[in-house]
Amino acid sequence: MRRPWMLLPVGLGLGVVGFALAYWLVTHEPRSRLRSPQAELAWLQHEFQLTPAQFEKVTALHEAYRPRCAELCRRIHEQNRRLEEAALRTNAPTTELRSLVLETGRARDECRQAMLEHLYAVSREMPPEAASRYLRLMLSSTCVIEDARNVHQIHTDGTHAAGSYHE
Amino acid sequence: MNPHDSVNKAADDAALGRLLKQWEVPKAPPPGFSREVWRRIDRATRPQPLPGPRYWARFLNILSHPRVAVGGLALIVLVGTGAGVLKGQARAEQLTDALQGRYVQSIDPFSHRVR
Repeated sequence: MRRPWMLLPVGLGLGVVGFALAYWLVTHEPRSRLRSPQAELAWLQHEFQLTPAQFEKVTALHEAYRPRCAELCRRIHEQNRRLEEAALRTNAPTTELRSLVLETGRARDECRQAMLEHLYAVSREMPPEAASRYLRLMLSSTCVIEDARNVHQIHTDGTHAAGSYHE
Repeated sequence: MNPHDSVNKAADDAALGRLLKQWEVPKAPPPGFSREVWRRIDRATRPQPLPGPRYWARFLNILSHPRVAVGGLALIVLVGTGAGVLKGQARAEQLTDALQGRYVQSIDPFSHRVR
């Protein structure tokens, strides 16, 4: 070999090219899914291996649920705003405040019910194994079931250990 | 003092005397012995020089063997590709988590606040 010193930059260059190529190939799919207009549904299709027919039905269910979700979102936001205003106007729980707390809770419960219905509807379009995995994942990721970290745990000795409400 | 002790001492002295008569002074050290000793001491105490052009020349000489060169290149490419796969997998997991988060956010109005 006439120029052995050339091997060093060539080797390093090939190593960098190998790194970049492997990185690009491994991350290509999730990156393209993230760029797609309905990234969240693209994730659902890939994660639960939905057939085109199943994906079409799930997409339709998702699109139908979105306006309802947005309306519930708006109601909860409005309810929270009213509750905050009322709570700041006084320094003791009034009848109005109690009623607003109950209404806020009702709006939230309604949202949880709607979400649960949606989760079941989506899972019915999936194969049994995928449906079960989907429900398990969504029940642990959404607010349908209160996260154990967000509630106070009452110990047998009567002390309270507050979990972090916000992460 | 025991009379036997004085007899033994006299015998030891005689043996030592015989031994001293046999002793010969060794020949003089080889020429330059002292200089060589000092040179070695000096070399041992001096800080080691950084690999110089001689080392590089030896390294490049090793690389000039086609088998070593091909093996080295293959190793570098393999290490680079392996690192790319590992780093890519970690990033792909992050992206998948982000996508899952987006789906949860799209159906759960509380996801951005509570979780």
